[in-house]
Amino acid sequence: MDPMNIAGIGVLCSHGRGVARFEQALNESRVPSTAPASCHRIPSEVLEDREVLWDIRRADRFSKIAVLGAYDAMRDGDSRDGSVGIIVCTGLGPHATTFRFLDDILDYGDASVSPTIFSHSIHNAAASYIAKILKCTGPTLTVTQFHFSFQQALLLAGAWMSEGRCEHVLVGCVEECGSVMESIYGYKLKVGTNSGMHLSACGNKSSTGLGEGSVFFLVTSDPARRKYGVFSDVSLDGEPCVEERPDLCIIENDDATVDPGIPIVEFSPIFGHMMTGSGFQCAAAALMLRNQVAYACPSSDVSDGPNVIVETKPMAIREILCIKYDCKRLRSCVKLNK
Amino acid sequence: MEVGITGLGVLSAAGSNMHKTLETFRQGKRNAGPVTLFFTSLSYPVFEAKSFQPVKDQNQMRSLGLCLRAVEEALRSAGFWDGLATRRVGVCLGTTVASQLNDIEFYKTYRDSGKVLTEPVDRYLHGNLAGAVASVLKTQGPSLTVVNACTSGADAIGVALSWLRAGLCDVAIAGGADELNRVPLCGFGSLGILSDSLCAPFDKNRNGLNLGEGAGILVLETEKSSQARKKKVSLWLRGYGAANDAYHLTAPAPEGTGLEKSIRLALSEAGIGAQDVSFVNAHGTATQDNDRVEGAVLSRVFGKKVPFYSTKGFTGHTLGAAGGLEAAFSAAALYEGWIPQCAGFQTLDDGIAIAPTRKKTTVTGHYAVSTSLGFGGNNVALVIECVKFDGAAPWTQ
Repeated sequence: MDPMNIAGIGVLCSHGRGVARFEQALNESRVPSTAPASCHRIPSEVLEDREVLWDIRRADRFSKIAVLGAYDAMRDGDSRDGSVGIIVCTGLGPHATTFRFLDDILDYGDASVSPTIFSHSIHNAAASYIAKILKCTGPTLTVTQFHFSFQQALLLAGAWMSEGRCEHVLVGCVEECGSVMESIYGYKLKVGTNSGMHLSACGNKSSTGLGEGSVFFLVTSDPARRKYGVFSDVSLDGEPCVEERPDLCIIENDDATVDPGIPIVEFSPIFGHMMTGSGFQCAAAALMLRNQVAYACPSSDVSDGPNVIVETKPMAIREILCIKYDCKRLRSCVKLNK
Repeated sequence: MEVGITGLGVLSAAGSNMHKTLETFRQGKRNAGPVTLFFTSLSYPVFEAKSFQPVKDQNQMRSLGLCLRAVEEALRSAGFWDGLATRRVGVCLGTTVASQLNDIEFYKTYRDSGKVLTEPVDRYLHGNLAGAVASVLKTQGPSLTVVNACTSGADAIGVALSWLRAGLCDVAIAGGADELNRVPLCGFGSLGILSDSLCAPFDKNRNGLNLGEGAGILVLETEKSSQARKKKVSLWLRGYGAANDAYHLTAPAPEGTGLEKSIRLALSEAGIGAQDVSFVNAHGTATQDNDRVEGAVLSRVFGKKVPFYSTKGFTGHTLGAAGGLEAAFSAAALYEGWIPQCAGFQTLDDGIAIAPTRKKTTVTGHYAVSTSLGFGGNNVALVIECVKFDGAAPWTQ
């Protein structure tokens, strides 16, 4: 894969909107005081941006979360390029809107449902709004895969740039909390089976609820626009990444094994569990590379091992691996370099 | 890098495989009827894949079942009789229904009692279309489900093309699948774009689309891979163009700027001009907006001499499957040297100015274009080339 330089990041989570807020949450290892299995919900005022959202004021919450993250990444990257490609990945999509549409069917019957709710329940509504707001006429894709959506999206972004389909790609992930999914999550957490939803994380799995938010990266082949480091490799079998010795690993699973000499960390207690949470982990990695700071593992349990980073401190960081396993023990690995 | 189409698999109301589908096209049969798959108070005609009987464990995963049936045909026609285990195989599939937990009984139970029925949830969590197909086939390569509404299947083929060119896999299973489902039926009904009679693409009196179901799958393969197994290849995927209107959530841009851009990108990628194209398999849903915009763009890009048609009159609008089905139909038509009538079309619309095929038509030449438009402003064009050699057709007989 050709290197993908990170020119801009937009991030939105329960701690607020923007890179600075996310950075502050990482810096303070701030874990919201939520009860187990509850949702790290984005405060409603964070989604009130009349300037950006005016044209899509009737859009659902999922779309607004997506648009703000994408908009911020483009602005952070100082880009107004209308030919940028867009790849939105999501695990669960606008499921809350889907259930609202099912409410309509159950309450009013098949012939009396809302076309507005239906059109927002379609997975790519958010990407459509992103393209409209940012005036992007390049390829626009929404993809889903429950375990490695973000990793697959990065691979595709790299392929698009390699074949000259796009010079720049806005690639990111979006998830939304909803009451039904919270109930499903609670049930799955209780039974703790190989459920298809990733429940475990480095640290205290029982204290981390579902998360919601969006994170977008504006990636480019132009190294002069590199602002946060570079995605230098993505693998879905672990082979290329493990040959080198990173300065730090972000491990999304409790039971992952790495060389005991490599510091490890994981940040999902800050923003919550999401099927596409790898995007947020990579945003944290990009900030660590830019700031040359190792952020402490929030809610870390010392019993996890001596190499867990328990204190935020300056560190010379050249390379970070973000590793995730799926339920079948297939491994993905995203390598970021300074 | 050259990418061949070495296998085709289709399943829809028009037929349970490519051979039967082509026979339906020849005869001009339109297998539509009322909804029988689920209860609904709506009485729109639909195109159900009546020939499809799901095996027991796929009973409530109909999109996956449809998909696996088409994948089986595509793999057999590609000559992968013995499986794919030793190859690097990507799976990229488009869908709409299979991406959503839109199980009404599950939700009603939850709403009424707060109880979470685990079976529908597990079915959903293990039913991601590309993931499930990759799991069944035990493939080792990228897998991704594209959820780009009605262009999903065509976009999935484009994604697979990018994977192959980037060296991420040597073979890719690409296309789309969607079942007929009560939720989108209600949704499309609410948008006022369902016809209460058989659809009439590009016709002056068209009044909406008919929903359908099915799956359309292409086996794509690098030239190096097909050469290594001494597979002769007559069909090639030459170009993929994708562009967004950046205009409206549900309506196409009135001037069709995104569609025109996508076609020109695909032609450019294929290294050909509009004059080299033998025919266009148009999206042609039979809605007022789609056909007006698409007709105008086809007229602008290809003029009046390049024949075009829509197969929606035979399959209905199969949503996420449509791009896969129509790419497969285009490839087969190029190989066969004829295109079907645009079923349902009778009267020229002065607002479109060009007419689709009225009858089965012989075509010559090497290139076909398949277009897809979708909700969300998506536009996709695929360019397929046929360089025919003596031998069996690239689908099972």
